[in-house]
Amino acid sequence: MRNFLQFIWNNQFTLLFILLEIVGFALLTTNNHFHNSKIQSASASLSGSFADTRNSYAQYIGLKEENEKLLDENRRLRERLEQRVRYRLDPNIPFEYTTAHAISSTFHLGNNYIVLDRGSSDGIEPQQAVLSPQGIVGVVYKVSEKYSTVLPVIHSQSRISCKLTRNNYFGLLHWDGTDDHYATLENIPNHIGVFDGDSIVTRGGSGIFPPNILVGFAEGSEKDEASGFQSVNVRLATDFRKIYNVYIVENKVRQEVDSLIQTIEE
Amino acid sequence: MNRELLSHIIRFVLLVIVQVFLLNNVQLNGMINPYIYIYFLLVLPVDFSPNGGLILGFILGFIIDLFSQTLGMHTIASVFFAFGRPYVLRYMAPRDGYEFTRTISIRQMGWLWFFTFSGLMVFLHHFVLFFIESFRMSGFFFTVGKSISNSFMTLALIVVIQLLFTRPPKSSYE
Repeated sequence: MRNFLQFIWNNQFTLLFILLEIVGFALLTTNNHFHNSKIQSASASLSGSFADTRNSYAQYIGLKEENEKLLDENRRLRERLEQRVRYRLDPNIPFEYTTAHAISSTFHLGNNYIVLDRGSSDGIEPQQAVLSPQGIVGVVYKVSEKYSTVLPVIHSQSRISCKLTRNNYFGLLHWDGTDDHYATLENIPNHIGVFDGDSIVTRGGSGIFPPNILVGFAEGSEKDEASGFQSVNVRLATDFRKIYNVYIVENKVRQEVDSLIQTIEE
Repeated sequence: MNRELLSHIIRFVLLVIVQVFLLNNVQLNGMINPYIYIYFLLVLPVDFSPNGGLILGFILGFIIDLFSQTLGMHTIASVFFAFGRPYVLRYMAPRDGYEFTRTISIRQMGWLWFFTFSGLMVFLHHFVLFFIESFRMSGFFFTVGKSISNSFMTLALIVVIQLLFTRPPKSSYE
C-alpha cells in the first residue's frame, strides 16, 4: 500500500495528465453522440447569445447581396405558385417553413457547425431540415430555448439521401472533410451516365428534407469496377462561406412515415 | 509577484476574447485559422508547477471549446501542450540553466531559442488538435500540412505579441 501511494506520488504529473485527457476524450465522445445534449445546448445558448450581439453589428455588410438573393428566391417561389395553380396540385403539403438566420458558422473545420437564432420556443426540434435560398444546408442537431445548432452537409457525419434529376437514381451524399464546396454522392451504379452539370436534388426519403430541393451539380465521377458503383463529385449549390438567411423545414407527417417504416423493419 | 500574477490573468482573459471573437471568425482561404490562445501556456514562468500547468491547460482548452462548439478538442490539445512543455523546456535548457530568467520571451532567451521552442510547441498543439478533429489516419498528410501552415500563422502572431507587449528587462541583476 505504501509503495502504491509512493508510486502515485512519484508519477503524479503523468497520472494527472492521463486523467485530464480522459476527461477531454469523454467530453469529445459524448459531444459527438447524437442525444447527450445537456452541455452542448448550454454551450449553444452561451455562444449563441454572444454571436447574436456580434452579428447585430456585422449583418449590414452583406445586406445588398442578401437582398438580391431574396429577390431571386421570391421570383422562383412565385413561379412555383403559378405552376401549382395551373396544375391544381395537392395544396395540403405537409412541410412548414420557418425563417432563421445563421448567426455563427464555420466552413474550415473537419466537423463544421452552424448556429441559428431560432430554438425550441419557436417550435424548432432536432432532425428538422435547414435550407438556404440556394439549396440544402443541413439538419437541426441540438436545440436550446432560443438557439439551435445545425449539422451541415459539410460535417463528416452528415449523410443525406439524394438523387439525380436526369434519371432518378439515388445514393447517399457525404462529405470527405477537405473542401467546403464539394461533396460526394455514393452508390450510383456504374452503367448510369453522369454528366457534368447534372443537377442533384434531395430524395425526401428520410422524411427530413422535402423532395426535389437542389443540392448541387455533378462535376465528374469516379467509377469503382470492383464494387460496380461510382461516386459522383458534387459541387454544392449552397455557399457555406456566406450563409445567412435560412429556412427551417418541419415535416408534419414524418412520425407517421417513420412508424410505418419501422413496422416493415420489424 | 502580485503584479506578475495579475498580468497572467489579464493575458488569459484577453487571449480568450481575441481567440473567440476575432480569430475564430478569420478564415483565410478556409485552411488557415490561427490559435493564439496557446500563447498563455507558452509563456508561463519556467519554474511554474507542471501540475498547475496541466490544470490551467485544461481550463483554457475547455473555455475555448465552450465558445467554439468543439467540446473536447481544444481541451485535449492544450492539456497535451501543458504535458509536453516541461519536457521540452528541460531538453532545451541553456548550459547554465534558467536561473537568470524565469520568463520566456524573445528578449530574454534570444530569437533562435524562442523560435525553436515556440515553433515546436505550437506545432505539437496544432497537430494534436487537427488530428483529433479529423479523427482518422487516412488524411494524415493533409493533417500534417494543415498543422504546419497554421503553426506558421500562430507563430507570426506570437512574435507580433512579443514585440508589442514585452518591455526590455530593466535589469536582470536586481
